[in-house]
Amino acid sequence: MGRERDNGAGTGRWGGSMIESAAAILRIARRRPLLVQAALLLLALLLPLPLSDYYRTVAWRTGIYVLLGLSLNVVVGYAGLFQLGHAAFYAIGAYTAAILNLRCGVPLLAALPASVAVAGAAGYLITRPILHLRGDYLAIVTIAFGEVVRLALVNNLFGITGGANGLSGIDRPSLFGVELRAPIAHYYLMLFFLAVTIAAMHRLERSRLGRAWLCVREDEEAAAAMGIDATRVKLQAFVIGSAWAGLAGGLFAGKLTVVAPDLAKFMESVVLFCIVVLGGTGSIPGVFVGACGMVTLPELFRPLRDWRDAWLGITMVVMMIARPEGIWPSRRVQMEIRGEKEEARAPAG
Amino acid sequence: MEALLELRGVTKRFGGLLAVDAVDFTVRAGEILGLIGPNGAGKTTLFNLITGFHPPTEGEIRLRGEAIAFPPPAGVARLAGRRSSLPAHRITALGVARTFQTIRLFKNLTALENVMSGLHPRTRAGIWGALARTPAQRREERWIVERAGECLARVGLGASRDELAANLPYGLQRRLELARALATRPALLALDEPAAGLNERETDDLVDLVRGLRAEGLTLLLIEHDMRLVMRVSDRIVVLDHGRKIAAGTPQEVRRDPAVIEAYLGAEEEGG
Amino acid sequence: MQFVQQLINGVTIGSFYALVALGYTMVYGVLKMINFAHGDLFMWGAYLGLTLFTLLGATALAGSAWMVVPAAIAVLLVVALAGLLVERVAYRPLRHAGRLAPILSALGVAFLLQSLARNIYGASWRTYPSGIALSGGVTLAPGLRVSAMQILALAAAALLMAALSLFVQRTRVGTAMRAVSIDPVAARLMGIDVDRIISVVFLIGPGLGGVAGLIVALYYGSFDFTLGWTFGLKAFIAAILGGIGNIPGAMLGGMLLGVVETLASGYISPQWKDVIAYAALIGILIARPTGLLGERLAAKV
Repeated sequence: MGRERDNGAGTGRWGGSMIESAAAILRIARRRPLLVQAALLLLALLLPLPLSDYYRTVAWRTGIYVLLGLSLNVVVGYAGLFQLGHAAFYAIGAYTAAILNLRCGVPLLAALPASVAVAGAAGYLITRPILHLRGDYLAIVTIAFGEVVRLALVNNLFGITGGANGLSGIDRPSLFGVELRAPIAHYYLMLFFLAVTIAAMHRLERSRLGRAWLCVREDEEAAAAMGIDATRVKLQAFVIGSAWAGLAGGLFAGKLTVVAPDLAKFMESVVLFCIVVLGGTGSIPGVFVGACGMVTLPELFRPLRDWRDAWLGITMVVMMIARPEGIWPSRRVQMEIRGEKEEARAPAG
Repeated sequence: MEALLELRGVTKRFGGLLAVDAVDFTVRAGEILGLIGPNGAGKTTLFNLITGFHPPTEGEIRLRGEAIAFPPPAGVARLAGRRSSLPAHRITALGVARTFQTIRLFKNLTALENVMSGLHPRTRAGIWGALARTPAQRREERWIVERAGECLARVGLGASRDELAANLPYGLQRRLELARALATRPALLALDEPAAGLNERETDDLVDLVRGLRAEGLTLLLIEHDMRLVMRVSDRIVVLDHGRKIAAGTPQEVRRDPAVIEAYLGAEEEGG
Repeated sequence: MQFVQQLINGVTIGSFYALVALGYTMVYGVLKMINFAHGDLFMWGAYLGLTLFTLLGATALAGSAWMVVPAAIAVLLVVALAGLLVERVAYRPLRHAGRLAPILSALGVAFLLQSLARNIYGASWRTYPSGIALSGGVTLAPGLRVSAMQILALAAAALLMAALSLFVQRTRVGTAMRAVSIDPVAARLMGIDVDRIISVVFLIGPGLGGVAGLIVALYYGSFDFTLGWTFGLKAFIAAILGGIGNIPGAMLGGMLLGVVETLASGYISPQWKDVIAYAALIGILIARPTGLLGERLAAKV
């Protein structure tokens, strides 16, 4: 309370200079967006070449979490909805691909559209009745839904989910008759979908729907006064986010060839939530930063693994106190999270 | 003159509190109607009923003859949670725009983006348009930016289009809210205390703006505490007290109405 | 008879839910935030009990059920202080920082507590030393039996809840607590030290939760570091059932959830009992977002 809050980027605080140089790079990036995009793409293409298979897999995992983070960013970042059960849709996508492959012999890549569609449909069915809930209550209901999905998978729903052990022996995806085995092949497959996703998110942000999400996040009633149907646009955010998580799930099933109910566990949802919020809510680069912090670091520093949750916990608390808008925030969120007090609503009169 | 908005027996109860009690009046196309009354008279509640923020408990509201709030449904429909009015966003799309008593801009959006939000009901691009960036969607985006720029210019905010709404001075925020409402291209513009917090010069500008909008064919409904302002710009005035309509007429008629004098003097005595 | 037996078992489990739910509800009452770390403070009560029993094993009380009394008091104090510390470090700086920040910070504390427990005590199931849990019981009728542990657990829960009710209804601090939960601004204007009330809430809630952890571990015999999460979520559901922010509601909600869950597990399927509990939560929030008894205060959400 009564803490001094500065508006600039963390001046005088640890990491301040790092953040400032990042901001400087961002400014250059704004002026030459095409150049930067090309450079980043080239970097992403070259990245796995000097790495060992282990690190190529780490890079793949990070990419999958970026994909998941971007999908959750639609819900949490753009539309401002507290979704704490997002991993359920990841699991639904993975199980859809696995079941279609194992039961019906559908090749994995051909099953991906079904993963997207089933996860999106589940997103619609699950969130349709809870759209009127806000804040904490929405968070708790999404947690409950996530657990219901996980328990349904554990309890072998319809006898097709394989119970607590999940499903194994899924075919690897093949492209033009070549089976994708090597981690590097999966890396490039992931990279393709990631590039498509980033382009899609970029377009959504700058669209009529993207603006409507921001308005609803800022003030639902004022948005209604502007003719925006809050229920509809929130539902669209949930469906898009869930469907995209389903895509990540399908890719996961193809690489690991095993799916298990643990994909939907609460911890996974929280990691995703942290990727979005710690990196910078509503910001695409922020999701990258978040995924590196939450996924890559613990993979690279083995000793951190046992203590990963502790490190995660401490980071979350410290970040919320020191830099609640995230490491690489989008301009819009910065002020909102910096804690303006909500104005008292004028009494009816 | 043609009736744009008609209220018949509109009533709103909050629990045991009767906030609006069987109010009837008509807003004619092209007029400026002032809505006044002592504090707690039910003005803002009435506004919320007209704009669909609350469904009325009883009564009917018609816009151009079409019901936007209607007697509450009975039986199954009621149990299924059917409202007794159209939702707010539908009413906005039908041509009723509003501003708020306390400014409610999208603070972290720029002035231009705020106004662009008002063009939402007049445009249609959805998920696919955005993802595929179709020619129609790009045309529509250009159109949105142009219209929003025009609305900003109309209220004299052309120079501030890329400022964050939160960074604008108070007076300009009030105007931005107006521009945002205008962007929905309303037939009826409902202003809830638009002069609150403005200085004299800003209030004069507001009067010019309101008259200019009327001259362009807009109908205005105005809640205002500043009596001089209401008397100056309104064609007719409706007076509410304790949720009931106690008088209606031209400013001159209302000023001389004993019931109105009584309500205001009474309120002053009560207020000490 | 089987039905009555299920009811008794349900009420016992329900009383545990109620004890933990009180912590959620009291914090929500004064701060309007969900203390996601509460479940893990509760779990620490169970682990601290384990350490204390090991320590007490070297004293004259070794192997006797009387070890529970000093252990419970110590757990109450330690977990209460831990709760106070959590509030000071992780929540107080965020008091005015919107809604997202406290949620994340609370989840962060929960992870830290969980990870500490796993790294210190290991990831496997732990059991209390034998001789502490009371054996025996009373047979009320053929096929209807109340175990000594059930009696002890119910008595302890009833005692703690009665003490809390008296505290909230009869003392000055309790009255101030109710005032803060109704209107913090007005309470401050009336000269109530809101920060102090919040501190009191963060002593009592986790303190009760810690003791509940000890009792639950004693009742079930074994537990692991995920106890706080699963049990905490259930207790939160209980708090919502009763209307969050409402103290008698939390007690009622806990009992109700315990009974429903036990009956569901007995008559439907034990596998799906958690799903049924979550479904109840979802259903209630969809239909009545303020819980069964209604939130006493205007919802912030």
